[in-house]
Amino acid sequence: MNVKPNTGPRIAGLILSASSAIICAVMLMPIIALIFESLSSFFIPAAEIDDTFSDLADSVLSQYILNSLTIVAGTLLFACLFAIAPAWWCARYEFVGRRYLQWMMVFPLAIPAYISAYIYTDALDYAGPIQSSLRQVFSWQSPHDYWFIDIRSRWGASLMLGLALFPYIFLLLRNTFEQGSQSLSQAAQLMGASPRKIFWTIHLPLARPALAIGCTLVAMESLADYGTVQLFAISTLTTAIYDSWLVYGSLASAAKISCLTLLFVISLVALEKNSRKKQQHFDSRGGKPNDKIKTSNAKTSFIWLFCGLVFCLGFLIPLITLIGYCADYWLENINGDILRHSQSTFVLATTAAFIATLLAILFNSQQRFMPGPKNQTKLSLSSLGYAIPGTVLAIGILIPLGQLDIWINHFIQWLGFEKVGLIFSGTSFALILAFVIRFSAISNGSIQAAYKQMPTNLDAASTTLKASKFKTFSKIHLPIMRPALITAFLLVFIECVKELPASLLLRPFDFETLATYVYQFASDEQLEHAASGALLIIIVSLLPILLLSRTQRMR
Amino acid sequence: MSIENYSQTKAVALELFNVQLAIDDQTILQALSFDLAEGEILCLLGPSGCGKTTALKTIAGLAMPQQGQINLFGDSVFSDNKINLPAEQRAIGFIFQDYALFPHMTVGQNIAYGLSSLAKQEKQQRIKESLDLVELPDLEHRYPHELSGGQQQRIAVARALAPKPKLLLMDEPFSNIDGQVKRRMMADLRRLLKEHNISCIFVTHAKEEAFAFADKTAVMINGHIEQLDIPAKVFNQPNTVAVAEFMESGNLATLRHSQQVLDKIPHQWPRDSDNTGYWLFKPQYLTLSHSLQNTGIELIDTTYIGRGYQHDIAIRLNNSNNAPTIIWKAETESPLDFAIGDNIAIEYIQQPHWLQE
Repeated sequence: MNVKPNTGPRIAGLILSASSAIICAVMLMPIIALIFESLSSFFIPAAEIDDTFSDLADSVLSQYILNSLTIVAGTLLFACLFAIAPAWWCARYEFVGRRYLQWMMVFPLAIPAYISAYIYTDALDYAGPIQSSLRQVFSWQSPHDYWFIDIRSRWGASLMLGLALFPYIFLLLRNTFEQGSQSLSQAAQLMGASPRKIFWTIHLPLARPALAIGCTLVAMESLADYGTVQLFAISTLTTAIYDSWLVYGSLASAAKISCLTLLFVISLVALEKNSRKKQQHFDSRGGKPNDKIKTSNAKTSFIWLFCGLVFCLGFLIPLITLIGYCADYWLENINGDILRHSQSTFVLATTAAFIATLLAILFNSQQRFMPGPKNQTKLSLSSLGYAIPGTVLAIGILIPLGQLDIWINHFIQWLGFEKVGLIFSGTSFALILAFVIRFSAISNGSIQAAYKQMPTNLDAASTTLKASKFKTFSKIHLPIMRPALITAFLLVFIECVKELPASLLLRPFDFETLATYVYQFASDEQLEHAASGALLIIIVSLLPILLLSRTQRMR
Repeated sequence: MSIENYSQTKAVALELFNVQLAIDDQTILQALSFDLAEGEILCLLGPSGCGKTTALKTIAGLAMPQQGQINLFGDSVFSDNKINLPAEQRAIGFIFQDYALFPHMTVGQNIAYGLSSLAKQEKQQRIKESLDLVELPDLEHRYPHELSGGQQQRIAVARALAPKPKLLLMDEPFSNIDGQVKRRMMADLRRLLKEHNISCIFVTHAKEEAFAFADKTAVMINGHIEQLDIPAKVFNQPNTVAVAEFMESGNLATLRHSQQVLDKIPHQWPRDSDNTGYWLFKPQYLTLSHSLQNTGIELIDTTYIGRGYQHDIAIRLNNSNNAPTIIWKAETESPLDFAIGDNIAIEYIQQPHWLQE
């Protein structure tokens, strides 16, 4: 029921409403800046147009687009291959070790694709252990004597990304398969359907929306990937943006490619929205969840073989290799740099996570107290950043902040003082802004879910017991959503620690986050010397998975 | 004693005048007007979606109407958008259908929530009083999830009554409690309200609850009160067809549409009234007898209902064999001595109630 507010401290409400509108505008600024920058070349005299973009468009841009799309398609293929069958097995069968396996399949999420990419390149290299031992066994002399897979290719990149991203699909599908109401499959069974038919006609169609959401996530992440493709020297839209700015110094061309990338993202999101609309109809809650079927020994072995292989490739091998690097090069790995960068990453991620959580509380509580299209729009807009690839977002932030710095310096000079330098675009401010814009969707989601579970009657009860809105918020809402607040903070924190492309573009001079530090070493073919940093990232990334597994087990 | 006298001796607790509320062009409350006397218990009875919960929230200040007037003990709390006293200042107790107990607070903290203006010692005293009132003195330090449904309901009552509200509103307070427990709780709560002279409006879709709990019943259909009176009168003498149908008061027949039906009933009452109305025939006053002639009335089903038997009878609208039929209900104390499918004759031993259309 629509419960309208009537009075209350109006001024406080107005201030909150205005500030949330301003914050929303700031969060939208990168997209607006990108569009503006891309279009502005039409209004500039021909002589001044920098034609990096037209050069690109004439020559290699189509190849870049093709590369990006191939990698997205390839990643989806691999991710579905690794995710769908294990999700079904873990949801519907009972076998030895299922409880462990269903969480082991999520662990690969903690390994950034570029780290796997580095490790497998190293291992499958001409000089690497595998080819060397093959040459020894078969006494081959040169690369001409045999054919060997080339991991540094589009399909190799897809495989790496697929291994790192498939758990998204796995998690969503497993939940859907598990929640599928038992009465539905029993009804089908009573009408004479075989288990195979029930899977294809009941369970898979019901899981389609979840599959679509998972695939969209994977597609967006692989489209946004920078680390892996750069390591493999594959030119895609994201590397083109990066190069346009850092190599050619053309912000306009970077903005144009960014807009192009955004077009792909928008189509992906549109596809997902469409599938989510259908989920409403498919939602079959209330039914008793499915009982798990006991499997035979042969089937159990097969399941473990398949899932174990995926787990080893996606998690265990990279992890052990990193530990090996650490042991071999422990002097290089334990040094002041790592400590310093961990510290600065911690401060940065904590700040960004704190702000993102605070904003999520602001936007969501506003929608709670004053439900309506205006506040809903603010909420949705503040979550938009998640869809923007890091590289694109970084360019979108550089444009307005750079301009702002120029104005400020002009102004200061005009006042007769020394220039202050790039106080916005050249400091951690830009990085924190990027993190907050990009990851607010995560904190929003967490708090939105908490609010959804909280009956609105609690607010009404509080009001009829003479409580002001502020009291309702501080005494009822905040305590009840404390777990959600912690989750929101932690998830954003972890994403910030892992974030690479935007950090690479926006980090201040002589400043590294753990991710950029590790990546620098990887791209210099020296990951061995930064393995401890990589391990730290992995350990931090494992946190939410362990948290998730604990809460789910409790249920 | 008549209810009118009863009302006149009391002060008016609540007045609603022409309250209108629409959400997105959909009218929820339509010219809602009624009074409630001090110490009186009123039941808002109606099918789901008729706007009764919204009416309750409007009175509490949780929903804002577009127009109308609401007075609480003589003071205006809402008047055509010019006055709108916020809910937290109306001093109305509200019991929610799901009780809305704060899950992260103990029972004591829940009750203390509305008592922030009191000193600590007074507060503690009031918590104790409230718990005694609902006869759960030992539960102060428990959390809501540790209580049974019935206990939760009583804690909700204690919390709502602790600030000593002048008016108590209850949204389907008994719907989550079953059978025996429900009857006892209704009796207890009614006694409590009467002892403390608390005015009360409660909302339900079950007419049995209205009969057992309320002094007066208002039947709400489509956001509008169709009839407000003592429960027995609303049931036996409905004002409108909608009320009669919702209350399941009995069988309806109109002269216009079912002349044939009425012709089959030997009549001892005047039938020459205007055609624009309905006769209401109560099932318990219909007598059935076996007939060898083709009466056009047939027994089609009999159900045992505890206090007696209920019979479905099909009455043909004209004399042809495949004519459309209407179904009436009749009730008898003992089973009939004829079988389903038999031809029957009916008689009505009272004057039926006349509903002007």
